[in-house]
Amino acid sequence: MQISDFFRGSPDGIDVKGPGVLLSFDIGGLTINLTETIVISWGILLAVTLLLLWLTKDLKTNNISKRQVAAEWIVSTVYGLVDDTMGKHWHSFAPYIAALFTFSITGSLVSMLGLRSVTADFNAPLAWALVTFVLIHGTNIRTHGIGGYLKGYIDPVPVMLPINVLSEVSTPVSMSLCHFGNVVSGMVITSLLYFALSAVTKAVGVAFLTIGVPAVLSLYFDLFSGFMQAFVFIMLTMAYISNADGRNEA
Amino acid sequence: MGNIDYREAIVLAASALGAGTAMIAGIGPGIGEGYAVGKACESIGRQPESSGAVTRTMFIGCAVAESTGIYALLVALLLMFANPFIGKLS
Amino acid sequence: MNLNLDFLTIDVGTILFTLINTLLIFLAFKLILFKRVDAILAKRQQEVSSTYSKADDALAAANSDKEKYAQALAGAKEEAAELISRAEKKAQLEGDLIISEARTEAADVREKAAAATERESVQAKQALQGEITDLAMELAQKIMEKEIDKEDHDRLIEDFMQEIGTEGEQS
Repeated sequence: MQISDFFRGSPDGIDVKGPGVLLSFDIGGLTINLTETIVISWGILLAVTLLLLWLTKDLKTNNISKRQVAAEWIVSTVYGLVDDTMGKHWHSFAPYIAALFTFSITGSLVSMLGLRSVTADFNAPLAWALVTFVLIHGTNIRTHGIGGYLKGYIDPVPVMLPINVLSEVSTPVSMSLCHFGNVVSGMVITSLLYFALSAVTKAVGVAFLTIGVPAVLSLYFDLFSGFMQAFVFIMLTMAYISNADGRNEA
Repeated sequence: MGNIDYREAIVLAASALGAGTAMIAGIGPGIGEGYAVGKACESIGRQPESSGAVTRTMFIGCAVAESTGIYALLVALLLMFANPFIGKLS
Repeated sequence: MNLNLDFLTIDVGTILFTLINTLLIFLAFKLILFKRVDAILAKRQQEVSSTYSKADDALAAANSDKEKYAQALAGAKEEAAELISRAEKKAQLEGDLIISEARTEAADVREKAAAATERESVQAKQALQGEITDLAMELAQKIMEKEIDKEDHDRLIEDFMQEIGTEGEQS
């Protein structure tokens, strides 16, 4: 292989695909695909459950272990965050926030194990954004009543109705697309880089770049971006829901 | 290589151009985020004790501002890897 | 197995499964981590407050003990003062008694002494009378024995008086 081949690209090219389908079956006309995303989610679910069981093993009131310190730190941090952002009356919302954050960040970080990120499948962030959407509108109806909620759509003038509806619908779409886009861009850039580096390696014949460079990049795209996006997702969820809640004066 | 459909070639070329053009949108979030981070640095310099809250808010704002750039990126990725126009040829 | 979904597909099955998984992970967090840690935090809170109330109780008990001791101390002081005053009174009384006894005794002694002196002087008088009688008898005898002139008479009396004087001084 010549150096010029690098500029021409490899004959197979690179392709970014969606999640692989492991099993597919029909239930009443609806095709259910058992995708990579679902299976990896189950793995995450199992791992997180085992981790939580291990963290909360034989809790004591004093003379506590480091494990319990970690568990209490997690709980108090999430409670503090929820209380700060949403107010005291949303205290019981903390477990959902913790679950969402954990699922999101582990879903992004599985790419470090060589698996496909859960969050690189648009359907996962979309599902979470739909939960947020339902919670926003449920909270809105609960505080303003169904009449007040519907009146909110024609708020300044009835002409605004389509724009208001669009802005409500755009909330989950923008949330999920933002998360998905960040993770998938990381994935695409990483695969592009692997492609380029393997081309260079083929051209030079020594695998010196494929060792260090992808690790640094993966640190940014997987760790930092995954953490950032999970954090942003929960912050946006809390902000939107507490915004719909009339009890917060802000 | 010989058997190329010129209509397909035109669509592919236009898609590649479109993908490249879409990424011009990257300018907006870049300027916006740079401005936001600069303001955050200013406010941390003025009130170092509130650096935690400022940093948190700045990251949220950056992530939201970034979403337009992300949309452009998604459009570019779609045009490159899941081209919706190729199928319309037949 | 090489089947893949498209890059950007909305797949209802995946959404459904993700919702179920999210619900399960939420339940795991709620029922395992938050429930247990909340319980242990509440228990610790309870323990801390019970420790505080115990400490308060102990403090109150100590304070009441202190008061009791102070009261007891004050009582003891009063008692001591009473004892001292009682003792003083008693001593005073006893002293008075002793003094009065001593006085009566002294009066007795004086009386007795006076009586003894009188008796002695009576005895001495009687003895003197006896002697005087004897001397008078002797003098009468001497006068009877010889004629004496005026001068002799005087000298005799003088001697006699001297004799009495010396004898009186001697007795």
